[in-house]
Amino acid sequence: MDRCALKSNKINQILATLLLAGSFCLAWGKADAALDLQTMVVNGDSAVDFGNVKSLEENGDPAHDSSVRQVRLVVTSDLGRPYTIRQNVDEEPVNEAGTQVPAEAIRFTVEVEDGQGLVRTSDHEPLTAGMQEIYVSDDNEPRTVLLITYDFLVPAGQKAGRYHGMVTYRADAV
Amino acid sequence: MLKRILLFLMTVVMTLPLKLFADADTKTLPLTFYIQPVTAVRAEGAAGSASVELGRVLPGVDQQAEALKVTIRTNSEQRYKIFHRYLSSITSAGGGQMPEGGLRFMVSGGSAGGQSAVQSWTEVPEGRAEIFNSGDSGGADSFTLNYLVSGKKPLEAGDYFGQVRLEIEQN
Repeated sequence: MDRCALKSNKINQILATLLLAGSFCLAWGKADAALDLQTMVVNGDSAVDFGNVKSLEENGDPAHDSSVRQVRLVVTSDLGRPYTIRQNVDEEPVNEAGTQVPAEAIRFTVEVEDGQGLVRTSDHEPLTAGMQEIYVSDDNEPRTVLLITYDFLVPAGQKAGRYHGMVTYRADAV
Repeated sequence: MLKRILLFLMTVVMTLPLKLFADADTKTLPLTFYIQPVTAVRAEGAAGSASVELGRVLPGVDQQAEALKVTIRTNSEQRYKIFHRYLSSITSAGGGQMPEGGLRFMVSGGSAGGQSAVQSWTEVPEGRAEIFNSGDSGGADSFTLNYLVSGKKPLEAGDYFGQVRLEIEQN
């Protein structure tokens, strides 16, 4: 066997070893996926959609419309450590023209449906921009189910249009 | 050299999964809603009804009618124009006609930045006439519409009545 063939053989061995090591690590990683967060919009699809609402009546009088949506968070953990759940809103929802809806217009309440821990927010708290801790689990809590209720009280006269925003939920081991 | 490369690659491969399966998880949901656009124009005379009393016109004396307050309520951010249109010309029960130049009108500026398109006494045209322009971003506003009946024009005696309509057009 010449030197070139020897070298090629060695490279093949190295690649095979890398592949094996990589597969092992991935399998190990999946088996130990320690903290998992799932979100479910109650009676909805993949968005917190308050639907079509009105801020003025047809005759121009102020309307007092409202809409409620709920999101269920399910966190599972085998870390044996407590974890926090946080909610982040980059900015208040805006329409095509860039008009924001006031933070106080959307309020949320967190309820614990399953698990032991502490809700860190008060009821009907305004959905303000920024990261906010909403829950801390007890030690070694394997499963937490939170129900977050969002109440949208449409401000009278609020500018028309399609409003968009994003809500991010994050679970972190402490 | 080859061993060093191997060592480096092994380190990368071992580190990647650890990063992928850190002790945190994140999910993002869109938040959305739609607010229906509404625009309503309301016109009120002094008595609170949608009518203007032109009053008693005496020969040789111009008679200014009570002001009509026009209010635009909207949640739209579009610009708009208000137009004045005769639905039926002003006539008396006995068939008397308002003479040419017999009725003039004038429109004030808006309380929220809109501009009058009829800033001085102008004869009310038969057709459609632009009378008011909103500010750049539209929005709620209000203005007053004043009418003046000329007593200097020959006018048959009698009770006169007509109908006008205010129309809004959004850009």
